[in-house]
Amino acid sequence: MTEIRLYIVQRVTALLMIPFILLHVAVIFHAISEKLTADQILARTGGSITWGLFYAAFVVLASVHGAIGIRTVIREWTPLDNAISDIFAIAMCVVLMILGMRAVAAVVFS
Amino acid sequence: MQASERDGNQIYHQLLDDRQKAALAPLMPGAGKSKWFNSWQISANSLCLTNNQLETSKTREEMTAQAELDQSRKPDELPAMEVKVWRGDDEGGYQTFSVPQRANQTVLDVVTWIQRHADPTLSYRFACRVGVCGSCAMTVNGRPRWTCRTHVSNVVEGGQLEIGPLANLPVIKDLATDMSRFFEKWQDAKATFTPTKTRHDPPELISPSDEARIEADEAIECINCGICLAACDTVRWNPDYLGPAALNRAWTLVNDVRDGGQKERLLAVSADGGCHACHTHQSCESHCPQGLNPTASIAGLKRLTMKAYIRGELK
Repeated sequence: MTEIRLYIVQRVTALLMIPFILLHVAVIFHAISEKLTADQILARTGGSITWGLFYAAFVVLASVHGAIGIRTVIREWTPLDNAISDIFAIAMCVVLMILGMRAVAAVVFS
Repeated sequence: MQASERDGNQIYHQLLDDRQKAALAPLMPGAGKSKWFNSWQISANSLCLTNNQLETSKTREEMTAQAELDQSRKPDELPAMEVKVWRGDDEGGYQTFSVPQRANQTVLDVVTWIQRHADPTLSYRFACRVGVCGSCAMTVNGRPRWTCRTHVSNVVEGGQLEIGPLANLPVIKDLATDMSRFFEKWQDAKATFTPTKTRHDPPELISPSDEARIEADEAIECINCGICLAACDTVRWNPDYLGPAALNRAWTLVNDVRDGGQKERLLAVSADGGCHACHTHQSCESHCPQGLNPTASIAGLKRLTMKAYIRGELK
């Protein structure tokens, strides 16, 4: 039942990401309209537990969602065995999560 | 000669023109003296009746004008088409034929003409010629179509036709594909009816307005032509994917209260290559000659299996 579990996880993560994406885009629009510099943005996010939790959750959702999608792409578009696609997808999930968490840490603990 | 036969003979001579008589002459052994002639007379009487019925709706002048129009559509007088036809197996190539155009000509007519007049070794599959059996599906100018119901005038491009075997299936020879894989997918999807009653039980009463019955009704009438399988990108990318036809059939059975194989079916369509592999491209829906929407059926299976998994019925 791996397939149906992954199907549900990917749909649920997609659903949960909707408010995160909307808020993230709104933040970007706000930063651009206010002509904020990187230093000004970091000054506002630094030490903020709220922004830290927000983006940490966003990173987890995106990493899981993207990795499941990558697994399907590898299975359909490459001649690799299914087991290799599973390993590659897990690796992709871990890498995305590490990179994302490093970015969150940099934003919050700057 | 009986009076009725004589009358029929007179009417026959009045109505049949010389061309029709010439066509029927070889059927007239014995010159009216043998039993063969009497049976032919009955046929002639029947023919007269048909002509009389026709004349009630069409005047003789109109019929003559129609005949002249038909004469003007002699195949030799229309420009010939360039038809490229796939020859050989999967490693084959296209061979070009020049085929005369005719009024109301189907793609299957073109293939049949090639086999009968140009190359009798051409292999293809057909049966009913009227869009019922689903045997004659081929790739016509890049799209899978039922060739018996596809008019050349609707698909010809610049006087050219390219006719190949269905995609996503092994080619046996020329235009005939091996459909085994297509039907094996039906078996894999448990898309066969599992009875729950015997002939001694009363028949199940199902209301046409029943919600499940309405869902099933929208998905039946599949003719197993394989066009949806040939049109599906996911099948091309993932040969293990069960495909639109098998999953569509599974959906009709899921909505059949008489069926007793639901648990096995839900397990089958939830496995690797099952309904969750569908990308909702809707190529099956846009190419289905019967106007079915297998994508909607697959979406129904996704919803159903997800609910079953959440309820713990799929483990």
